[in-house]
Amino acid sequence: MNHLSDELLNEYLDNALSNRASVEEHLAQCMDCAARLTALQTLFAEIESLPEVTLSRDLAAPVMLKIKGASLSPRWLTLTIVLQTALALIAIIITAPLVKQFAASSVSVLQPPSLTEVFIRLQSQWVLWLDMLSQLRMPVMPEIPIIEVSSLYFLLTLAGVSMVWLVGNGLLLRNQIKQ
Amino acid sequence: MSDLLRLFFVIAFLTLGLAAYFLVVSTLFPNRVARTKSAIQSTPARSFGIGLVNFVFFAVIAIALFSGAEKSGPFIKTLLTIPALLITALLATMLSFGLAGMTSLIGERILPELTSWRQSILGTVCLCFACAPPFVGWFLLFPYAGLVGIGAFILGLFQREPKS
Repeated sequence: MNHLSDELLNEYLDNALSNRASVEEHLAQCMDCAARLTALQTLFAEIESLPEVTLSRDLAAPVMLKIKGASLSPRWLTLTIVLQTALALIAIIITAPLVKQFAASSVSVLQPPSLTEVFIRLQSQWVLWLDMLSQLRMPVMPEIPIIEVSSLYFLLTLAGVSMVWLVGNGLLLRNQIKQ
Repeated sequence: MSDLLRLFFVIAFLTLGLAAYFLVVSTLFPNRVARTKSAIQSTPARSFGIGLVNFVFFAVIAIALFSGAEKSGPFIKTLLTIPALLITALLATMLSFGLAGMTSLIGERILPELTSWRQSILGTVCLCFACAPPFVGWFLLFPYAGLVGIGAFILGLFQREPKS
């Protein structure tokens, strides 16, 4: 006798079979297949009874962001960008002679700083920065106070703090330690 | 004005250093930082309580030991200073892990779409500048963040590994 496949049993459980009668007939005769079906039913029941687990990190936001980023820009936007680029190029070509003329008259007035001047300025700025940083005062660490207490008070304080520590940790970590 | 500028530089350099520090801590001990972060996320009030109780205890012990060492002779001084330094180091370690988890969580909540290392840097920058304002930053926000961090680190020690 040919046994039913796992796929067929799953489809039977999902009510996705057209010939349920033949499967039921086989299940009535075959103990092995009936046992497999019961095992599958138990497994699905256990899976459904499991509690809902929330993810520690929600991935929806980053994934949606990636999808949005990957989507193509609309056609009108692409056309506008192309048109703007073309207009900008035409404007540059038209105004180029005027800009050249203006630049020629201005350059004669403007004297670019020499390399030495630039170095000197950079150096003076660097010295200023160093000077400013050298004046930085790091916070002074507080001195440990020398507590003048008698040995009895000292021991009592220690005992008190230890009690608070033990009780506090005992109460707050109770559930964790039990687990 | 120059004082303000100096203060800004101090905070900026501190932020830069701390961002790198927390990033390295998160990279070297990812599980520990993740557990701390999870504890801050799930039980912030309990973390604060545990942090407060433990900080007070260890700080008192450390101060008492340092104070005792100051008044003692050279041998006793060494004997008391070593445990005092160890306790201080323990507190600093707990604070480091706690704040590393805290910065990571802050970054994640502000911009969840960023990668984890960027979130850590963002969290550090936000926390540093948020703790810079006088009084509210120094005496409210920083102690709160520090104590929650310490408590969450301790809680994280008791968390069990999820069953695979």
